[in-house]
Amino acid sequence: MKLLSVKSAAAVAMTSALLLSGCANKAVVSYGDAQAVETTDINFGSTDLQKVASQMTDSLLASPVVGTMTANTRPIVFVERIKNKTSEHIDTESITDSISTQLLRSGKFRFVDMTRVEAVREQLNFQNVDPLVNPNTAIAFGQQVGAQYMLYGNLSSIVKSNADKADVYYKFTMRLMDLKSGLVEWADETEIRKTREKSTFGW
Amino acid sequence: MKYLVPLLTILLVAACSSRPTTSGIGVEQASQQYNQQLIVNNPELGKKLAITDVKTRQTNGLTDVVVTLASQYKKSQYLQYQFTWYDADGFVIRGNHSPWQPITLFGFAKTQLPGLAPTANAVTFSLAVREVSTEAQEFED
Repeated sequence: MKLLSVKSAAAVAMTSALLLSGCANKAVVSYGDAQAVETTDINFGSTDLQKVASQMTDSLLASPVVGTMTANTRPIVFVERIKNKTSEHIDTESITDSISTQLLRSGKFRFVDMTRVEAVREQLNFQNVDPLVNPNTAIAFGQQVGAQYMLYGNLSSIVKSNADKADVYYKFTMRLMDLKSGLVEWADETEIRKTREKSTFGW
Repeated sequence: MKYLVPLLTILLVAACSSRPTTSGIGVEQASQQYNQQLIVNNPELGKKLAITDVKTRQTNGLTDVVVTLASQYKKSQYLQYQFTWYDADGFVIRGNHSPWQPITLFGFAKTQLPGLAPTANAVTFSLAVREVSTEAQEFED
């Protein structure tokens, strides 16, 4: 009996050693899929960003109003911003970047970038004022094209939690306004619900 | 004590296989012949899920598609799907325009997965559906 317990104790020790050496404390680096669904926690994550951007782009491109708008011309749009009304810090420029990139890629819209106006002004100033630049090659002021439409939106959230459960609801609204008439030509919203519950597995 | 050794061994085997299940089911539209081909790489998921219909049309000059996904399982399924688009020559459309989208399919429910071509030259597609990888999967074989 005593021998058995010594034997099994040795076996346990060996297995534990295997367990520890086999899995623990081994840093493994691997490349993941940047577009796969990520469920690390319920905060706004890459999947939410991609879902929102892709749904808004699809909705805009498929809308009948946009169909007539883009039938013969490529309207010029500027992205105002997405107001972050959630309790989290979210880089909403990243969402608008994705949306404008996908819209540009579709070949149906053209964009002016308001975030780089100062840089453009600086460059044109340099070209027109600095004696280093050949005046014949300098781009004259007053030739840029004005935007016809403004893209803007809101991101809001409702967060609820108790001891066992946390629930977050995001609502993303986006609108396209005709700057000449002030009419909102297109609007859509998308919702995301994420829930965290305690796993049935104890660990 | 008697059961401790086998238990630890099971833990050892289970804890180390931390590779998520990434196979699923899908549909592939080969060329423009509209001969949809259903692919089931994960028979276990294939039993719980079925693709019952594929519809395509043109919306604003872009290929618009809906794939009907039907659950054959009583519990909710947490799934993700991804469309991949190809041009007329079978080249994949570059860019990260169609990420994996999460979807919760309730028991025996039916839903349409919508996909819109990112550009006008994207004419054919393939769709992949798989489960969202969870920690629980790590304990399956």
